[in-house]
Amino acid sequence: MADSKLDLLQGTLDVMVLQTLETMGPLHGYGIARRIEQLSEDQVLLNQGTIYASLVRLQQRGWISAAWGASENNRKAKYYAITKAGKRQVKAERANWERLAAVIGRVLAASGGNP
Amino acid sequence: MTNLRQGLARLISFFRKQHLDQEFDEEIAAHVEFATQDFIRQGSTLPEARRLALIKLGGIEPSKELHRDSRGLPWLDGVCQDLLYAWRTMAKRPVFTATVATTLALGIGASTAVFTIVDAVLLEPLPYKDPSRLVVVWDKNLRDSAISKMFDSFQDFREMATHARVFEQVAAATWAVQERLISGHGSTREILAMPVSESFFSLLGISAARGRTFTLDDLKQGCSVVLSDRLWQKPLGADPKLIGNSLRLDDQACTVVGVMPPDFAFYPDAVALWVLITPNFSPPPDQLPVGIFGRLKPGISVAQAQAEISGLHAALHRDDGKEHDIVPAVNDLQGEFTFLAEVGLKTTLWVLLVAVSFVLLIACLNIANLMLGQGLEREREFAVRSALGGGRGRLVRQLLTESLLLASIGGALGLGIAFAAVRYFHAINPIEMPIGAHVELNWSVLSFTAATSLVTAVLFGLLPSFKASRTDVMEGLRAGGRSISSAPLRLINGLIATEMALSLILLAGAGLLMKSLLTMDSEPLGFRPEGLNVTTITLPATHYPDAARRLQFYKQLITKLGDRAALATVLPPYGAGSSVLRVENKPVSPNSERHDVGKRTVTPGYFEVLGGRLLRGRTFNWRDQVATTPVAIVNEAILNEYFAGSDPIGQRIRVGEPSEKNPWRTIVGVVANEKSSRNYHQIGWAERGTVFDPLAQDPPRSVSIAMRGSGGDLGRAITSIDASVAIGDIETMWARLGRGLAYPKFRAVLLGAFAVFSVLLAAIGLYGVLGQFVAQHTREIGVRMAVGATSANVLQLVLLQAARPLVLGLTAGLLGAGALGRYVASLLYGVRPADPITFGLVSVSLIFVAGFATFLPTLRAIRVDPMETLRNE
Repeated sequence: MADSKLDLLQGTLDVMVLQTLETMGPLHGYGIARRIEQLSEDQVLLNQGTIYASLVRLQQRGWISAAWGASENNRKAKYYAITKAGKRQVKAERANWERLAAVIGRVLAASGGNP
Repeated sequence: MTNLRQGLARLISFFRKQHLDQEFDEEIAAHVEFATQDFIRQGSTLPEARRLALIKLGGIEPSKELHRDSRGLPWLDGVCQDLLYAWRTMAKRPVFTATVATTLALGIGASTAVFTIVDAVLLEPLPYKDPSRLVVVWDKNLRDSAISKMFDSFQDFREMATHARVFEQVAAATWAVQERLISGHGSTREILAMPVSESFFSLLGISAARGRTFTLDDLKQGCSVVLSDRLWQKPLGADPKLIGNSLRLDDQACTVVGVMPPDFAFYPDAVALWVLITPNFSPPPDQLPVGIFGRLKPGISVAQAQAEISGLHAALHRDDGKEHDIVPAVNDLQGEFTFLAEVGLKTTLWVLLVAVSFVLLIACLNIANLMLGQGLEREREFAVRSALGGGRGRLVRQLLTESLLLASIGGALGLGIAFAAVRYFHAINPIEMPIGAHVELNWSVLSFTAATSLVTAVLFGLLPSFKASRTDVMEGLRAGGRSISSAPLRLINGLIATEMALSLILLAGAGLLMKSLLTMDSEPLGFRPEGLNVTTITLPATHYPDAARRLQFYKQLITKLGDRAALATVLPPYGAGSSVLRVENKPVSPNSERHDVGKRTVTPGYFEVLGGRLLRGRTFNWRDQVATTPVAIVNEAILNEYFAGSDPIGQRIRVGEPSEKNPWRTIVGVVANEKSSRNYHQIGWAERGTVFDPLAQDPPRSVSIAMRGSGGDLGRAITSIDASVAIGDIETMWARLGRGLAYPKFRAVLLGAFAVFSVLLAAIGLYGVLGQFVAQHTREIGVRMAVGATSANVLQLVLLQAARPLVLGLTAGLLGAGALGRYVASLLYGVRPADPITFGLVSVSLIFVAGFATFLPTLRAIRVDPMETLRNE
């Protein structure tokens, strides 16, 4: 059901892209999109086109780099890889995210306990 | 840091659009291919797989858009789009665009040019140290309001230098001095040497370009001078050896201690050198009237300074009776320099600035009007754009972009016009500018132009865009290109009426100034300036030590020149000073005596050469000399004021304080008044009480010569008698009178030009509106005529349309001109600020011009063919 799919929070796509590139190594746009869909078990509602806007943003910030390469079946494609600055950013974002998630979890648990 | 980097990347992307678009096309193609293959692997057919891939992607075009937006600068893209669109719209209507741009260019150019002068005179600080704290103290005569600025006494200066606590530093300087002769370097020449106190240059904070300025040590020496760069460069040949050595000033050796930089200037501009006032200065310092210049301590206001100085002055003059009629007045130096250039300069500049903003406002209203007309024509275009999803904000933005683009073009052209105007101003040098005022385009002028362009764009762009943004989409489309909404008639009438009112105010102002100028130019002066050449000569003191030798030279000169020439201490139009007049046996209390009588010492031919009229008694002849009875001639003004009802001939008078050289003089004649310039270059003429005495009884060292005949003859005659005599510039009396007319002319011509320009604009505005009115009502007129309306009825219809804004504008304009008139009162001569003749005349001219603008549209309305219009229905 479409309703149960998660709308992406502003900015979270960027983090997911960075994380994907860190764990998977260089990927092309379609690969990244597929990977995020698979990892989220198709829970994330993704217009694959939005990936490219995110890639441009990350590139402009210097967190990923891009180069043309060939795919496994020799199709020319643009491959993205995470940079050192990008790795630092992922670490920071992950810490941030965990803290935020913990806080939200606590708040939700507390309010859930009250009648 | 990251943000900066991203911004930079976006900016770069903005300029690499094509390349990046191509790259993204390839990337997205690859993406679709990968996705399609995946779907085929899952069992879809090729077309089905491709469709699914595209759905998954969210469409190629939206993806591209998204990519572009996050890649580059979408707002800049929007602006570029708007600009491009605006440019195309303008290019499609070249006449409209050219009209608007030219109107704006003229308006902005004129404003910028006027502002350049305002900036130079009123806004840019004087080129001295702490210019905002520099003040000058004048003596103000309470008894005679015409003499509001006099030099102070040197004692006053000393008192203030030692006791005034409001000053950080004080200096004395004066230009109430005779010209001096400088010799030993080429021909003897007359120069203006300004006596100054030791602190003068350090007060201004300007040091010498070569050598040094004065020090306290110089006070113990003889005569020390600092040269102006002009004197040092030209007549003295820029000789560096001169510094530390001496030159001869009036046959006195003066040590040159330094030369000032070329751009150093102080009032009056003609000063060639500055001479230190030492204790044994000649004349003795205590007899030297000086201006007191000072720098206030930080935080001290002019009012605070005034309070302390008044107190000091009152204490100093408690016993000499001066405290009652003379008080000190503290003024800021920049204001005084402006005043000294011309008493009305400040008012003039404000008047011109207001006038030029009126012109610009009229231009804006006109353009707004044109744009409104355009807005009606473009209604369909806007309707289509709204229908296609152009938001209201987007439409307003588009229209503002168009007006901004127009205003920028107008501003750029205007800057060119202003540049040319400033060049022209320097070339013809129409008026004397205050010291330290450099008329030039600088950053403040450029920002003024930019701001003006921006404001005009908003002014003329906002109104039509407001109207356009309320366009009803359905109505606009349905009307199929025909204009549907009736023109916002009240709005347009209001615009035209405002234009008319502003033009009338400008016309009235220009009329008043013009009338003042004409009155001043055409009034009989009491002497005949035609064919008169004038100059001033000074006899070197060594060759002419006594009165007898001087008289001998003057007699020789007159013999040589014949009865075409006359000598006088001062020639009109210059006033002859102001002293007190006493009549023998007519005691006057010191409280009611007036210091307003001038004295001219003249040769016998004076009245004949200048063309003065003898009313009673006789003129002078060469038999009036030192040994005979001291005689005098008075003019009508003296006769009326001092001898009303009695015969002045034979009575004895004295001008100024009694002394051995200033005996009682017996009146032998009465002459008609001569006009002379008013104090401080006020516009118009004064008829002052003047007493004449024979030159033979008191031959001065320096005289003015008036001669009918060629100036060359005059120069040759003088040199042939004695080459050591210094001759000033030889000029015609017309040239001398013309200088007095320079400011009135400058004002009248500029305001006149602005007024004419604004009336033209207003007429064009009216013409445009009427044309539109007739075009819109052609059908109505046709129908009316078909059912029996006569040409007279149609005429009435159109004329009524024209009359409404005209009458409204005339009324408002006359009221406005009446209200504003008092602000120009000080610039008028021989005409009242609310002169009915001028107001009537300018109203008639405006009506005439408006009638001219109405003529063509009216003609078109009358010629409407009823059959034609009905057939078109």
